[in-house]
Amino acid sequence: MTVTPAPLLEIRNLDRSFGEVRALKSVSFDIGENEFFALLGPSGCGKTTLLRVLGGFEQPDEGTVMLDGSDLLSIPAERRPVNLMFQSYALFPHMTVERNVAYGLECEKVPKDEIRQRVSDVLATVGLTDKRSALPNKLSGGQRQRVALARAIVKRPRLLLLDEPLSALDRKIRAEMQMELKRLQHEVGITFVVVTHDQDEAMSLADRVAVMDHGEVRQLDTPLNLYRRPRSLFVADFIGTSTILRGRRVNAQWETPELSPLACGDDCEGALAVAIRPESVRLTAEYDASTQVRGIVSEVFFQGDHAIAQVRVGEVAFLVSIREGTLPERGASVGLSWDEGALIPLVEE
Amino acid sequence: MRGAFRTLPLWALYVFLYLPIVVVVIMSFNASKNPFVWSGFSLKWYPELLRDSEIMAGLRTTLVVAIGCTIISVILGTLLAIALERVLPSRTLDAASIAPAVMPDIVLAIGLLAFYTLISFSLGAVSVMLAHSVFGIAFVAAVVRVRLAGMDNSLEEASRDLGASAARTFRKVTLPGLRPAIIAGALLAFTLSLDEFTVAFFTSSPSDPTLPVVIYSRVRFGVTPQINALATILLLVSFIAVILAQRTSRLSDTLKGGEPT
Amino acid sequence: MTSSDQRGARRSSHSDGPLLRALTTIPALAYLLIFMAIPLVLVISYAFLTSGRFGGVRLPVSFESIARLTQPLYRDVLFTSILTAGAATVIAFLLGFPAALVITRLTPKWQTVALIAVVLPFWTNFLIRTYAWIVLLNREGLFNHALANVGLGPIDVLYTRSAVVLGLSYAYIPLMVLPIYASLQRLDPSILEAARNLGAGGWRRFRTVLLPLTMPGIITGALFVFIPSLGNFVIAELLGGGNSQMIGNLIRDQFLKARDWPFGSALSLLVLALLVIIVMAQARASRRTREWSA
Repeated sequence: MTVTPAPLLEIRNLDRSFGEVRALKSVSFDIGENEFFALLGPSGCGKTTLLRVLGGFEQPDEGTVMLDGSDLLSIPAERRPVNLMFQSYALFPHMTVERNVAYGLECEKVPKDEIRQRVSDVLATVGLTDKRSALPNKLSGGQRQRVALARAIVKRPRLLLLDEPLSALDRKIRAEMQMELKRLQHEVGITFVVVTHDQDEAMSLADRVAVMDHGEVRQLDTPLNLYRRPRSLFVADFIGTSTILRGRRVNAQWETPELSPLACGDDCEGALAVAIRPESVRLTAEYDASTQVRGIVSEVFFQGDHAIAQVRVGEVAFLVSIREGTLPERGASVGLSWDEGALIPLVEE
Repeated sequence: MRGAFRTLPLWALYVFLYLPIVVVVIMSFNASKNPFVWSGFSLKWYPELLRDSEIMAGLRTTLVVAIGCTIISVILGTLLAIALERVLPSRTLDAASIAPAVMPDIVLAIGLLAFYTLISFSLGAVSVMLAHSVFGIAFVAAVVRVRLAGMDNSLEEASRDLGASAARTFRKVTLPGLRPAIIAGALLAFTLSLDEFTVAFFTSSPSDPTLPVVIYSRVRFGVTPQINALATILLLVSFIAVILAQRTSRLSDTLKGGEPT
Repeated sequence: MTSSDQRGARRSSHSDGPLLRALTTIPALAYLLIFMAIPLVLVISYAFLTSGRFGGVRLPVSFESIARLTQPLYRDVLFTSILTAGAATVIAFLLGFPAALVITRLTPKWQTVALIAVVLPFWTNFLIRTYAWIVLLNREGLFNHALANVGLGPIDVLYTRSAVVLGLSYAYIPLMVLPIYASLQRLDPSILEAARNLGAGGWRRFRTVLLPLTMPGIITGALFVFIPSLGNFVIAELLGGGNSQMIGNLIRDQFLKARDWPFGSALSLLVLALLVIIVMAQARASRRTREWSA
């Protein structure tokens, strides 16, 4: 998906090393206006460094960042139209909610009446009007996060960066906050960039996700495409679960060392491996014509609305998602089958 | 580079702190009697020190006082630390253990002088030793407490569960674990007593002064080269003591934690 | 404190509690009672007695000494004394706060080294360190030598009040740095980054965030510089000559020269009163800080 018209943020060839470690390796991509964007990756992948570069707390060794067409990196941190929501929220403990939110506007020397109005409005938007005179330590985690959001939003930045926004919250609150964040983003119309290691967070919130590993963007796409069309073993493994079979295509078949050859289409040509998503695999107790491999059930993990069965086929552990019918027993002999299109070719590591 | 400028305030502080010290040390090697004129490197003032009977006497007294103070402080300070951390945590006791550090030393000095006069206790090395121990106890207690707080309680509990009495547990389990902190506390108490002036000034006998008091009477009349040499030696002793204390017991943890309630 | 409370509670559940408790607490407490509490009580009570004929004190109870504190002569000395100690405290703060800030930005290993390096001079004989300033500041001393080399005239700093202020701040500045460092360490670093991100420049960050949040540490540091400065007589004597009198000199004179113990005690009472005031201010700042901690 290309971003047209002119993107809000253009990142080109960002490079940053810390001693021996190259945290960012020539990173380039665009972020569009009003997008909900996510930087996803394991710890150490460089996403936090990128966040800090955008926020102005780090300077890259190489590369440029253009915001609305002008150079962002030359603007000092305190004057950038980019605001952060910190992982720890970083609320000022000695100031009330109201004063916390007003802080950024006071720095801009906005007139007092306007400050009061804008603060009231934004507190209403996040639903904290009745907490305006409370101190941060009297608020719950979710409330504190909303203060941190309000504090950033009230300044109407061009870009709002959120560092692991949901990681500190309980599971139930997390689901609520996810919806809150989406709603907020639409309401205030600011471009959000979420930085996270949690793929659920990224996939559920973002319009587009950049998956990073060791300082590089491995794949940038919509959550759907990332899930259905990962290009690399890394992405296939990081996003969702799948069974990965290394091998190569020979004579219109996928040859893999541990199993007998499987049927596969032309798109598997040149791939390093294929991935099969658990929900694409069908499990039958009886072997029939469609059965492609046979195996023994080694584990069953109940997940609530579905279960994941681990089926050992020779040396390979297949992951199968079961949504209906009785769950297989451990040790049972079963047959697995899938459609040809279920094989996802992976062309990179 | 930008980085160097950022650390400027710290370097400024170090220059401020160490410039006089460096000057004194350098001057102790000055061949000339006149401290404002450098006439070559010489070690002659150091042996001169040994020939100065007043300084030597003061040194002897100070060592007696310091060693005595160390012994008292270590014993009572360790007990206090154990009381605070393990036996009877209480805010009054806490305050009592910090009070010597906060108290202005001149007030304590005259108070002790009044006390000694009241009970007709003759002034001398012992009166100073007892006075210094007030501070010493507070410092040893502080250092040992930090160590105790960080020590895993389970070893002691295991020892008790296996049937050892409290005394035995203390001797065989707690005490060895505290040894580094006790050593550090001892070094601190020793150094404190070695260098302490105000309280010693009021509680020592005029005929048997401690070394700092001797230095005081000399310095009032001007700068002398033997004093430079003496100062350098004392500085060296103090430095070594503090660094050893840090090595044995990570003194820095006490420093990093330190803020009275 | 809570975890050691819990541990303490666990501990005293063992059966030989009382003996253990007595053994560990009594010796030290008794010692401090005898050699700290009693002297303190004596000082406070002597302020209300009359001077003995050959020194010491005797009855009757009298408020004369306290009243004398308000006499113009003494009022002036007290006032200048407080100003001098105050100036020393301010200088110690101006130099010490930035230095503490720099230390918190070092790696942990270097922080330890830096702290020890700050504390080291404090553990040496402060007479010697004061005396070193005489060598430096003297008319023919090093500073003036250095200045002469660049063609500037000699500065007569020695034997002035400025020298006393300098000497006092020098003596106690490590004690300003340590508590400020401790306070700074407790701060969540992202708070300062957040302030910056919201648009606050250096001065604003200091004024609205750093200063309020480190106030307990600052007051503690001020305590450790101001009070000892008031009571210090050596520095005033050696560096200030006859010109500068601190409360400490007065106290010393009363006890050793004029042999007017009640008046000396009254002066000490004043120092103690100031101590109590500052400690209360510190307690209040600490309490407020606790109010807003999670």
